[in-house]
Amino acid sequence: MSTPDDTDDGDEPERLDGGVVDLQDPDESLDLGTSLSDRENITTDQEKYDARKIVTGEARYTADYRDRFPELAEARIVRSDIPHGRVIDIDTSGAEEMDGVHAVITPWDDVVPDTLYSPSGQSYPEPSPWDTRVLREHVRFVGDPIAAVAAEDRDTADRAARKLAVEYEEYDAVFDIWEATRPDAPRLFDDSEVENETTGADYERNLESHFEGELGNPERVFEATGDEQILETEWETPYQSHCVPEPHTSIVYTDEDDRYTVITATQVPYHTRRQLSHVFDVPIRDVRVVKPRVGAGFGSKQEMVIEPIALALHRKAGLPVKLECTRQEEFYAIRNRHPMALQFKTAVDEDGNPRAMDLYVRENSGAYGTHGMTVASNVGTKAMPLYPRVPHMRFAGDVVHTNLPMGAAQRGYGAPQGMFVVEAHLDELARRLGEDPVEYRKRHAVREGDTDRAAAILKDGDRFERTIRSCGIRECIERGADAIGYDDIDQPGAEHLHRGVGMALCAQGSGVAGKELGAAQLKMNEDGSFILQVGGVDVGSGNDTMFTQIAAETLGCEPDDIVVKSSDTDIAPFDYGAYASSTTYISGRAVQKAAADARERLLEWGGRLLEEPAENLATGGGEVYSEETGASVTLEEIGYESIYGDEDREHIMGQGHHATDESPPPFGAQFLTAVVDEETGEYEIEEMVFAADCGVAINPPLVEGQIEGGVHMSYEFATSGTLSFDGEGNPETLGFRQYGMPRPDEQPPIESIIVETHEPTGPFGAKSIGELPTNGVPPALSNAIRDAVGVRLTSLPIEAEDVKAALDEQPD
Amino acid sequence: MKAAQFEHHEPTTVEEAVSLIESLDEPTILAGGQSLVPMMRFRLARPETVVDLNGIDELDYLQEADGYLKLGALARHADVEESSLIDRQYGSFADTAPLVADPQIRNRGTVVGSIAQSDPKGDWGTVLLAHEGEVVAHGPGGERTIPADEFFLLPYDNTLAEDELITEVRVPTSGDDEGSAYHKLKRKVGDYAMAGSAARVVLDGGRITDATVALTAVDITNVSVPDAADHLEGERPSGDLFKQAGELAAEHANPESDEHGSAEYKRNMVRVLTQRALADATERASNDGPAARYGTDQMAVGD
Repeated sequence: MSTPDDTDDGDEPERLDGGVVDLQDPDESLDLGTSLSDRENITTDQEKYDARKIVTGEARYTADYRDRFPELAEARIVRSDIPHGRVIDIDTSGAEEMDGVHAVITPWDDVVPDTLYSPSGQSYPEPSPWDTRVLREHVRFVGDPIAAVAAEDRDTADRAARKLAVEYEEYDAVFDIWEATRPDAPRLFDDSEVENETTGADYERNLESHFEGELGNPERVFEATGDEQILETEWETPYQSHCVPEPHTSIVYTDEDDRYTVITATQVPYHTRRQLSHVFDVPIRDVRVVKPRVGAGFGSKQEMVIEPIALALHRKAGLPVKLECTRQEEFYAIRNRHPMALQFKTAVDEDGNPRAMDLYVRENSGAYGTHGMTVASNVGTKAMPLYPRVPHMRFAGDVVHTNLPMGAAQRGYGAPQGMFVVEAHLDELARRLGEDPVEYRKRHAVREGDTDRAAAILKDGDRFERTIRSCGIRECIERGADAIGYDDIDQPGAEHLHRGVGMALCAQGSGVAGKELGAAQLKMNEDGSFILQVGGVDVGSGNDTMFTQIAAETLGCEPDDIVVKSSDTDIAPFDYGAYASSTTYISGRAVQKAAADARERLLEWGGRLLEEPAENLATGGGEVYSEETGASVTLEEIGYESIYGDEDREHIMGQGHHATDESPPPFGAQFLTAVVDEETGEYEIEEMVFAADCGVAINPPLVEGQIEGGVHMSYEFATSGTLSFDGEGNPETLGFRQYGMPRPDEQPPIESIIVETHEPTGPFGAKSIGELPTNGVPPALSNAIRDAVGVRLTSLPIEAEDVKAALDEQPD
Repeated sequence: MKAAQFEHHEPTTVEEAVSLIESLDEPTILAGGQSLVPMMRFRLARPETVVDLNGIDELDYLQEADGYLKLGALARHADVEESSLIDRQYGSFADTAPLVADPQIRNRGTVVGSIAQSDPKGDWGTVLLAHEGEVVAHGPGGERTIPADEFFLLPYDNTLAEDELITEVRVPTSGDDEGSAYHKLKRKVGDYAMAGSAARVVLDGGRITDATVALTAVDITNVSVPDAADHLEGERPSGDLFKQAGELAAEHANPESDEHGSAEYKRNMVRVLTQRALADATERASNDGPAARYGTDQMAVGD
């Protein structure tokens, strides 16, 4: 039988129904000025404006702002040391009697609200349950915050925290995601302890959410397909720590207008402002959140983690309070990537073409539900769109509570688990069909012009079905294969060593479809420079620099002419925050629109000064010039004239905001080679190549930085980083020593390849890059080991002993 | 967490250190701090007095003298790693040093400190056993030497007296026909050994005249394997012979299942690691030139 995808290998846009695809931006009202071909400031190596200060230690992070406050109290959180129970009493007298202690707070304190909320940094109302209180009487994991102390210095706060005597009533605990949903399992939440429940919640079974969605009729296809054409596999993925360089840190004080000000290491200043206002029942206008330089978030700061505790301590102490988590807390008490168990089933037709896919995920949400359902749902909605032409799909999930640390957002957001399963399974399927696994996936993978319904498999209606307007996945495969030498893998000399090569396709999104807003405002100075106020949040990846490039490209000036003021809720326009790979695509587009708006005023003023109609004029090189006469006027001349002119005066400004249902996927191909020692099961990755289609790369070195960082994190997930607990839920991983993050000298070389496509809906053709490269190493490694020694590893991290056990089970 | 308060003493001579140790109440000795400092930080150790050896310059050496390779109590892992003397003659030392923990720890941690700690998962005790070395201790009664195979008693326990200080460990100088190697398996980066095996071989006229095998992390202390040594001596080296010796070592091992791996896997790995250590040691014994040239990297890929 014929399928639509075995006809050719080209990239011709063609709809499945034979109709014509319109790849253009549906938002036709935009006139964004500059054509792409100019590229004065886009795809250039603009130096990240804070780079030198970061490497010399001059950049100011939240903790550095302590020097503004002569009377700053340092804080410490007291955490549960049992996995499940109720705090009956906390004797605070020992701490309160100590010299230098300013405040001790417990769940029963007047300054500590008992409002239920979700700490997830998501839009309103959060798609995560409201199941959290600032301090917890009912404790659900070892690490739950139950009290806090503020004192004159950190040492005193530490000592005071140790003096609190906590009395518990202990409950039975559950640590296993399969046991947790049995009727006799200890229950983590009663009905009064959750509001704003998510889809399919059943707290009697510790089920935070159950969801399912279907395209076509997969059940019928599986029934009609012979067993030999069906492949079923099972997979497991563990906790991963974010390992943020800068621990979660906040400083809270009351400003001269009696408003709460929170300087904090966050990815989501505006969501945090709204949530603090909700939790503490104060007007939004009385809260200001300021984000200074941030030492990475990776999702752990898409979350209001410690801000409410710092604010409650500030209310009680009456002094500015600084709360900075310890490295230990970062490992056992803050946030992690959700562990998961996954099942995947495919059916192929007689020619080996995939006809149906069925993916099931059971996610360990840990003790609370922040990002629980949304991460689990992204497992399918990010990975299945790699193959949008498979006509029948099913995707279902259960999100389960246990008495272990909470999962949350982490770079990739479910996609790493999804790609692991889909890409390793399809590699296995291809091999069993006797096909080259790379060719097989290349043939069936997404193409430009496809209608992707898989991304919307859990949604009602067709609003979120998307047209793939840009797709460089085949070029990623080809250039990645060339770089790794796919067709020419030689074997090591020693008999016990075997070399294999593996590939995994990757996809992500560019923002949350239909749930984003970015906004920006530009104000011109007399000298022709601009102040750019933008809500978009730079947590280290270089977005502030990217904003200046986009603005300068549109205005016809230099990035250095743009001063960025971002992520201060009093100063910058609204933004949902830095998550879901949204900042370039959403906030960058808002900046582009604001700059186009300001550019119109520049042309108007240029027209007046040059005495020519504005439509004859263009911007570039710091000037407005006439394309007909060549006459020009500098932006500085316009700046002075517009502000101090005799006849008319205007402050030249531009505003833009961007909201869309679009979320175009960036694509990638992760290749790697690995040598496996068949006697010990040890393996070594020798070389890694990641080819990325992120549309137009606004700043190629920063894109390469994102690729290298993402691949490193993915390599850690595949090979070494995980948390362990004893049988009582006590954490055993309390520092880098136990955690196993690969060190620089152990990181295999990474080659980054940028495959340029043009995304018509993105700023200057850009999509996203931040999360995409976090997805590929686990499946590529599983595939390389399969290639090298014939065994399939299905559980992360892949350890030597597991490889050896699989080899020993192999029939001779 | 920070260490609890303690009294810090910094002697500048061995004599001063020994008299301090004798006079103080239960002093703890600090050299590189590889194990002690984290234990104090997490308050698993709360010594009231610490005698810090780092000011005793006379203990900072790594040299051949009097028929021995001698390492003073302040010789760091990094000193071994960077020594050309080690590279030329002492393959097992050259193999071991870069496998200890991470670069920061290797810059401070000492070989003697590791042996004094007597952790069965430590690497250096195994190397000392394989070389039939000695521990040199100073106490109120003067100096004494303790053979390696009489030193280790239990995990974190040895035959050193409470008022004694290890000033040196030493192994007999390696001859031209001698070679040694150490192979180690770790679960993840920077971890302790899941299993390790050191081998030393002396060749004469194509036969093995002397051999030793010792193991890491598969018993209550670092242990040597006399059965394997007996089996090797007098024989011509061969893949089969090393395989048999590896099997004897695996039988001798007494591993337990833990977070690093299952007992069964560890025992199996003792077999493979011993076999490989013997092959490397033999190759080094029969070749001239730097010992480390012959594959200190366990995963070295022979292209």
